[in-house]
Amino acid sequence: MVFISNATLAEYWIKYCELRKNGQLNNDFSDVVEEIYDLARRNPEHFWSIVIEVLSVTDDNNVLSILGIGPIEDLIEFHPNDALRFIKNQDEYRDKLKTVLSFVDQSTIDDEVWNEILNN
Amino acid sequence: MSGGLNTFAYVGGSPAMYADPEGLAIGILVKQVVKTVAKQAARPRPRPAPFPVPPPVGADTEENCPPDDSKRCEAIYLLIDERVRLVKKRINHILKDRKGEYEAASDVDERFANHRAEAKRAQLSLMRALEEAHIMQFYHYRPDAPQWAMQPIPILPRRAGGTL
Repeated sequence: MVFISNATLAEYWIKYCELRKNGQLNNDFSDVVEEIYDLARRNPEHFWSIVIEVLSVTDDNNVLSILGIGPIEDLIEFHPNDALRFIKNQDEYRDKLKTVLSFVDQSTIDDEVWNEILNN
Repeated sequence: MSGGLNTFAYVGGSPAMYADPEGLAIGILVKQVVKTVAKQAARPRPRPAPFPVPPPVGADTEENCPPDDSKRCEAIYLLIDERVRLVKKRINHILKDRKGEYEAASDVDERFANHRAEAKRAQLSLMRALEEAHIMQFYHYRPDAPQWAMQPIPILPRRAGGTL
């Protein structure tokens, strides 16, 4: 098993978003991106550390929107309590996180959890 | 003519009406046979199934997993379940985009494009999980999974006076 650092995964994510926006996606990224999506559902702590890494290096709206529409939405759906804890404790990148959360669709998330997220 | 040829058919099923003692009509018969064979060959053949056979036989994950590899098998079935759920969710988002249920109408095009891309990605993930199941010969995953992997992704209807 190959170890990939969070910084590298974050770089991959940003590159993936850029290629996706330009319609130039290729298979080189599919495994790593799949891994990031799977982490959101299987290992929320690890996934969140990658999110922080991404937020620390970019404020690109495209990158933030794909995070919100994709894996962050999955994280909140599959691990609402963990997600709530992560969001509450995140002060440094609060504004960027707000942008990310504005792209999350509420429909699959419990109302109570969603209201609490909005209030943080 | 002894042995192979059906003499009854040779005379058009009517031996009282037709006879060919010299064997002169054999050319006509050969022509007829060649024509029939060519016709059959030109007939369109049934298309192969879109997904590798054999088809899934059920969604029972525990009983149908092979005992020597049950953990891996159950993990793949769960992964397929999860990915079907995600495909459904993504497609549902697109349908909501189409209905204009989002508050900020200005960013609906970008949101729609992103939701479509997410749906495609989710379908690709599901397809990969199904391929893995087939490679491992675990065929008892949920029967609707291939359908969701290939479900056409909705497009945004053309707006009156707009470009989309």
